[in-house]
Amino acid sequence: MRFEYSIAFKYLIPRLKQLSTSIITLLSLFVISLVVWLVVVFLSVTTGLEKKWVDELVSFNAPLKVTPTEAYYSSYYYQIDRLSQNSDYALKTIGEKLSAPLSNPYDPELDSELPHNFPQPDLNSNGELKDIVKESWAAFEKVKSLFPKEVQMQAQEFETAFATLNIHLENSQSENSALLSQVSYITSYNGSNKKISEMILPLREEDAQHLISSITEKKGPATQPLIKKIEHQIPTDTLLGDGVLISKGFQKHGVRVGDEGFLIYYSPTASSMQEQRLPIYVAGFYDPGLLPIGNKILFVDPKVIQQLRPNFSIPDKMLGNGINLWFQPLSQADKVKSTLLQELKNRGLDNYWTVETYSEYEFSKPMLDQLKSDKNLFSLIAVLILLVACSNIISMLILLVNNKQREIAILRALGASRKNIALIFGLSGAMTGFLSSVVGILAAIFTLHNLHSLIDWISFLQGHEAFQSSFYGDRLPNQLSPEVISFVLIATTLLSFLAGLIPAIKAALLKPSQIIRGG
Amino acid sequence: MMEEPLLEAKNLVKTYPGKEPLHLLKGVSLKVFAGDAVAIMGASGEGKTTLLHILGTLESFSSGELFIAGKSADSHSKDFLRRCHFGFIFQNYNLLEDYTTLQNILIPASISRKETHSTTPSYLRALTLLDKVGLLPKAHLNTKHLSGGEKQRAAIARALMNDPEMILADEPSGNLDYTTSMTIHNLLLDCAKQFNKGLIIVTHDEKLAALCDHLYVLQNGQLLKTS
Repeated sequence: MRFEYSIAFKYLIPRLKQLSTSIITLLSLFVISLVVWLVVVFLSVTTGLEKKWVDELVSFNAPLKVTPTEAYYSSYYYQIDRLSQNSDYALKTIGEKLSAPLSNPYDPELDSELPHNFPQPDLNSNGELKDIVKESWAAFEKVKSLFPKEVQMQAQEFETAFATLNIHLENSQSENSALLSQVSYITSYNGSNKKISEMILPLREEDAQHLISSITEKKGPATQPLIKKIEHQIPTDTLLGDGVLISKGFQKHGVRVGDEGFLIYYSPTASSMQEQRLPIYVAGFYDPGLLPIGNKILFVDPKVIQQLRPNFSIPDKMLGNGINLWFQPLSQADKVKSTLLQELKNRGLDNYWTVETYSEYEFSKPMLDQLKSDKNLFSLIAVLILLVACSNIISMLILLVNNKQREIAILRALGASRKNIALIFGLSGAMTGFLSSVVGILAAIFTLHNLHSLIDWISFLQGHEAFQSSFYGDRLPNQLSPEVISFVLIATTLLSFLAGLIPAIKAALLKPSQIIRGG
Repeated sequence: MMEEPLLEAKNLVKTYPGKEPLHLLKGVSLKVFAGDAVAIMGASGEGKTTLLHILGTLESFSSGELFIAGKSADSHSKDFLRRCHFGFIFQNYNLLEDYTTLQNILIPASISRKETHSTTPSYLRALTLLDKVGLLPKAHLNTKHLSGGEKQRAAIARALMNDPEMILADEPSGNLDYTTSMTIHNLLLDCAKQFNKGLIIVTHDEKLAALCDHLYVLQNGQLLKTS
């Protein structure tokens, strides 16, 4: 192909003598580069956004969530604690089941007879009650051993409750104070999850001062541990109460670190449900990203959740108890899920658990599906725009074929086949496309490097923020992915090659004898 | 053992279809052996160039048979035959513009997928041929800077590049002055003899025709051998 390549390369070099062809060649190159630039910038930003949103999503909820099914909650294994003295007649969480010494706490000597409609126990081959949680945990460990260490798989129990958050807003300018109230999901803070730690916002100057004054007011000079950045544990103070992490959305309502309030929840007593108040203070803010329920999530120390457990009886998929399975990279999610399901099935436990990856969560699926649809739609539109841009190549090459008729005839006389000639023009098209892609990609890389200056400039021109920080973050994320580059390079080169085929066929069908004789 | 002709045409007919079909060649037969120089003359419009193009497989014929190196022209692709068995020389030189003299001479080798960089046999052969036609000093000059005679000499070197058995020349000195024409005639015939090639020249030039071994006249679609 060296011969065809060298001729094609020669044809594409702009020459004054072939001004019209040269102008159309440069125009084609410019238009394709422009489209490539647009596609790469758009796809890089959407890829960056997708990564950011998925990262935020996975920070709250592990890449894989294992939650008990209705079969679990109605099983003998779960219900038996309610009737057993060994379990203090209280249902157990997954964590408590895992650490419980007895799989079956029921003792006919101590406990009353089971009702006739009580669920039948699920027995293993030895005739003993299956310990669903412990055996499932063993399944997690088995799955963990099947993946390389780099995946860093880790299973962790989660508990989510709900309560009404009340915060007293103290206005430093006056004596007035207001009460901010919101029903919230309360979830346990997992300090070992680096991603959650990354989402905690640094302490603002006004927050630090307010926190110091709140503490000083209560008990004298402030203690340093409360003022440092939250990492492994949310701090608790004997006078201020339990620390909570709330969404940064509260900041615009005037909430500051150090503001105090209550978590209101209901607890059953012998006669009725009674309102309980748990004193809290705002220990920090986190960035919830675009999660639809992000603003309603409150992070607390796991021991706070224990007090709110009575609320679990309220049917809400967001509430309850389950197991988070952490690992990386996220691309392993489907593989981990299928391996785990198989392992649970092998142990006869698959009907007790629902296993979902992050892209299947009820609250994130619509957003991720929409983003994927948008990307697919834009990719389709991009291919169509590229097709139109590449069609310029057809007119450019037809003009070139007309200009080079004599040369084509000479090459045919010297023994070049129709295929050789067609390939020369196909390559001319592909080379134009490839070169345009490279120019477009370089321009896109330059743009992405200076994206924030560009956005500032656009914002300045239109007089308001070009991209709302509440949706996109303080800086518009972008990620130049190898997939985008490969897609653009291959699509453009292929489309350009195909565009070159029509002129190539025209060139191949020229009759050398007639042209040579034509003088 | 009888020598086999490099090229043999048997009863070639060329008819251009239409309302009134044009019967240009009406059964042309010809044999060319190695070292033979054959001149074809005839009035304008008699079909000399058409015949040359048919013999060089640039154009098809309506009926008859064509054998090249003892094999039917249909037994190989036309491109292969032109690449390996023929070297063409045209009245208008037909060198590629924007290429140097050396690059033009190397093109047949490139088409035949031969390596052409500076240490290859093809490159050395091109230099030898340039030397033979007296253009070595202008090897790296763009062909647009060559004179008519120099361009035709470059075309002769290009025709010999792939070492074909046959050279087909169409009015090789048609655009040249008398002195240059004589130089080109001598060079062409000299090369054909020296490299033992079969040479077919279509010409109006009687002096050139007189230098050839055989002279034919194409008249009314028939190829007539003259003494």
